[in-house]
Amino acid sequence: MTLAPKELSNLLGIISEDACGNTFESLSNAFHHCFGKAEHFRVGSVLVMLLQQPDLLPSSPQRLTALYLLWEMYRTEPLAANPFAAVFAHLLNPSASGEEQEKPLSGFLPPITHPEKFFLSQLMLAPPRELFKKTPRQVSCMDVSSAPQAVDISGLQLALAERQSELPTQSKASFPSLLSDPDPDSSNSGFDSSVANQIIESLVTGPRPPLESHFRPEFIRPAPPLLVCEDELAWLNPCEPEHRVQWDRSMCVHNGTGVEIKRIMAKAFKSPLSAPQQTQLLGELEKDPKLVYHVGLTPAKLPDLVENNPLVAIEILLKLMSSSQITEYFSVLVNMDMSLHSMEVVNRLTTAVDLPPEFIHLYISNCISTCEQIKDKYMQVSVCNLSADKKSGVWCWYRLYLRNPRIG
Amino acid sequence: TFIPYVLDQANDMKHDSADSPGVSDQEKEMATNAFEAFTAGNYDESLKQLESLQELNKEDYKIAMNKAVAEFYKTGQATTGTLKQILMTIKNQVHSAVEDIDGLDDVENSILYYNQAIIHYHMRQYSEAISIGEKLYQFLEPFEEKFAQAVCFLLVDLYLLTFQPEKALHLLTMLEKLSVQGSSKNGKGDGNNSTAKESAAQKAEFAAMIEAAKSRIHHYKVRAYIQMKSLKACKREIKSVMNTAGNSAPSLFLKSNFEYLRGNYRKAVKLLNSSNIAEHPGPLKTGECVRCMFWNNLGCIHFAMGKHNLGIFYFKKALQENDHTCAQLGDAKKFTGIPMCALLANKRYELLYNCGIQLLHIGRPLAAFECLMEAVQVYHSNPRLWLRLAECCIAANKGSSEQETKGLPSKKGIVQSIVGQGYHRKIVLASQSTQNTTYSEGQSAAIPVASMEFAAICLRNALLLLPEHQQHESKPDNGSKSSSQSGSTESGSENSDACRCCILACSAYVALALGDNLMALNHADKLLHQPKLSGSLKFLGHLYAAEALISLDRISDAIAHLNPENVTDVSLGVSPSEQDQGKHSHRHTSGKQTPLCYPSTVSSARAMMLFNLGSAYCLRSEYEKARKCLHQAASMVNPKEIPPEAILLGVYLELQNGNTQLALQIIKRNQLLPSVKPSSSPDLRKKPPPFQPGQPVQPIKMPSSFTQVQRK
Repeated sequence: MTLAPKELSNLLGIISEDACGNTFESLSNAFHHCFGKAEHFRVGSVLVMLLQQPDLLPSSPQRLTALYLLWEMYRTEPLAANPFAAVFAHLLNPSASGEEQEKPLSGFLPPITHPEKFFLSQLMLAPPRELFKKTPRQVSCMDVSSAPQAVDISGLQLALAERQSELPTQSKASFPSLLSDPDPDSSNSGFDSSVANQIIESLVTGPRPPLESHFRPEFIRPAPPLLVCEDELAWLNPCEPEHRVQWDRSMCVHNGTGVEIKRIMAKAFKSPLSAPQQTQLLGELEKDPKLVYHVGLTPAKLPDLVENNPLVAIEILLKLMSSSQITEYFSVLVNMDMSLHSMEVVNRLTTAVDLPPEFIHLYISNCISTCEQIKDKYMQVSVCNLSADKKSGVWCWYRLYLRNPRIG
Repeated sequence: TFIPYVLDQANDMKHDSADSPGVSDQEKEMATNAFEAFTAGNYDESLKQLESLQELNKEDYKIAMNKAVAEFYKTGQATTGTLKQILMTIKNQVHSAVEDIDGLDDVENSILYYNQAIIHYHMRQYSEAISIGEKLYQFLEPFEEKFAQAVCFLLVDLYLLTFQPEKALHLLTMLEKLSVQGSSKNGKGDGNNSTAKESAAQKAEFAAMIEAAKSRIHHYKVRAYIQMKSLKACKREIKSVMNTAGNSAPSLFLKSNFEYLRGNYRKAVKLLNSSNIAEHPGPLKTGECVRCMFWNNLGCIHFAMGKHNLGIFYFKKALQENDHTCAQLGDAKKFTGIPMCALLANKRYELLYNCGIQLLHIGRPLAAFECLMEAVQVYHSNPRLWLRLAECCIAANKGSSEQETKGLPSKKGIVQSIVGQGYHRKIVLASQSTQNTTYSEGQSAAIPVASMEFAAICLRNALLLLPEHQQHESKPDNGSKSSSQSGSTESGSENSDACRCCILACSAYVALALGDNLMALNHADKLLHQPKLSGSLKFLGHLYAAEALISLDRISDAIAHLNPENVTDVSLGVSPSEQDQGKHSHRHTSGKQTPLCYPSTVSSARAMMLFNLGSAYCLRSEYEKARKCLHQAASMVNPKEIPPEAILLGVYLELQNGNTQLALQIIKRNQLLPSVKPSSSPDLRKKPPPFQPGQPVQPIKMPSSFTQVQRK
């Protein structure tokens, strides 16, 4: 939004007091010679600021030039589309003229003289060509008392109001942040265009010139306080850790037994073992209490072992009792299909160790529901084998119950 | 009744040697010789045996591994990188990835995995080490007791390093059981076929081992309880530590840590001083630089006491000490040339973290930013650290003078500049929002400079990293991934709630500063919906939401947020729900200052809200209401503390009223002046009566629709 110093001096040349002897037409030509369409808005903003600061643009012909240029830049477009149309509407507003003498709002446009108003009114209508053959100075001295006072700008006002209603409230509430504060004590030295030009330059050039800033009610925005955190800092404790790389003592102690046992176990998952095999397996397990962890049993494989070799399963489970995985084995046992073998295994376990009561309860309820299912099937299909199973199952359960009365 | 699974290795080996066709007796003997030479520290001899063994037996990878282990010890454990490589190769040959140790067969390879875990541990690759350790832990039973213990201790250490104290405690109870079982078994002392002499020696070794283990367990328990902040349990354990390990530096440091947490700062200092750090063997031996820890802890204590300058002093000393240690160690990044344990000696990032936090609190956000930026390269998954970085950016961009960061209220100028003089003199009013808005143009926001854009990135990271909302009970599985790299600084859920609120508040603030109003509103709304929101952040939430709404042109909604009744409390903390009482009160009385330049009382916070409410009314052209807000608010605060925004609001109202002269007076005196009808006092310019804050001002009545949300 800023003007380069060069652009500014061009502009100030065009609207200088000296240039006011030129016709509007030639001023317009000079203007278009210096500025392209892209610069119009920036230049216009500067002109508006100058109109707002009467001490910087004191003479009526200069104001006429400024107003003319504001209009001229956008003359090819409809009037309401001129971004500076609000300036025209404000200056021409008939009701404003009365009050504003008393209450000059800062930053608002000071009132203009009658010739200026006449000229502006002409611009609002279709301006006669010969108007632009005149010079600003001529227009400023025109006697306009006979001319019609007010031009009807209600159409323009309506269009402007419509456009403004689209703007955020915050933008509409802004003033220019430039406030005139003439020093009453300084000798009123009058207008000196070189001083004024310097001031203008400092207002509109450079990065973030005052021209750009605006003044509106602003919010107090305190920054959030730092997070309060009590134990944030790293306290360091020496702890002398003793984690060492270790020698593997199982080097070259490969266990022949282990291989054989694993082979037997692999078989045990598939079919019943022969008596000698079973004896060998149980004997080795007895010899080496840790061997049980190396035989290749996992909870998933337990049901196979139970179905094929319940005796082996019992012994191994008893040896795994202190393992952290024993609960997994239990849950597999409870959830596997009910069978004579599984019941036998549970039965033996209950007699040998204290099983968790919830396990036994779960098991019995499973047992009962299975028995009921078997009953239904019996009614419908009448399979004798199942009936035998059922009878022994119930019997087994009773035995379980009788032997462990605390279960109930 | 079962035989305990504990088994002495001697028995085991004898049993094996009875009948194992695969391995010849000669090989067995060589293996034994190699092991004995190794334990005696005679690594050359051991290696010789291993080499001849390798010629006989080409199958057993364990010979190669033991060779690597012996070589490693031969170099003084200084070839960590090489060992790592060799173990990797061996593991690939064995063809069993750690991920699929599920068969019990893999128990065979346990030492290989353990050694790999040890190396990961020393290279600070904690999550890798944990995943191996946890696999091993599943098959603890078949292991020899000593090895089982080693696995457990390693895991405990890793859990503590990654701030999972609950898991560590669980393991420690396991370990206790293990050692009890061990001792009871040993008490029976009946090695089936060992001589009485052997058994006695064994017994003594066993007893010593159990004692040492007990002492370590107590130590670890204290550390776990300290992390969990359960000080009662901690106290009990501290006693045991002091009984077993007397006056060793680790014990004294631990006790000091405990007293520090309880807020007994003097005692904590005393304990640190009583530890004889001069006699400590030094980082090359133990992997720990106790001097550096000493200075660092002193820094922590002084920080907590609010003595920030001393805090900085000590942290800097700790950093110097650490640099010194590192210089001794050389380049630790190559993992060779220094003993493996010393790889852990460098505490630079912890120290930088502490230093950064201290600098931030002392009002030097840019220096803090540099420290924390370096720390975040290591602790990049710590959400609180990202928040701290954002706080640095915010503090650095507050546009505040040095004074303000030191806590003294200062006036931001309300005049940006004065142009011209005499007849042409013009005042350019300062726009506070442009002061607050800082775009660092032309720079990518991804380049870390302490800008608001970077703050926004930090806050986004922080929010993403923060564990999801959870039940208040801190769950045991506290995302080991996310916490594995965060320093001392992992937060429990209680902390993470506070952290989340703070992150949201900062996010809203930063979004406002960047002009991202929708985002700001979004964050502020989320903030206001947090279940555990401190009074002060609730206040800020309303302010930020209102400002965002104003910018989004939803003035009525904004006004609903600005009801001064919304502010009931400006405390910074949520009422603490404590498991261990006494701790919080201790800490707060001990001189932790609340941040300044921030409303410290409810009435000043309400005044701030009223000022903003006044601004909102202005936008709706309700100037009378605005004026009443302004004056009511002004009467609530010390006239010297009226913020510049409020004075500018006064200026605005006078200008709007056509009262340019009065507006100029307000600007020049930088204080609010009572509004006078412009026509009534012609000599207004010369001597306006200063506004008396004491005089009664009619409290404004809130419009009845105040609590309702109005929409156009």
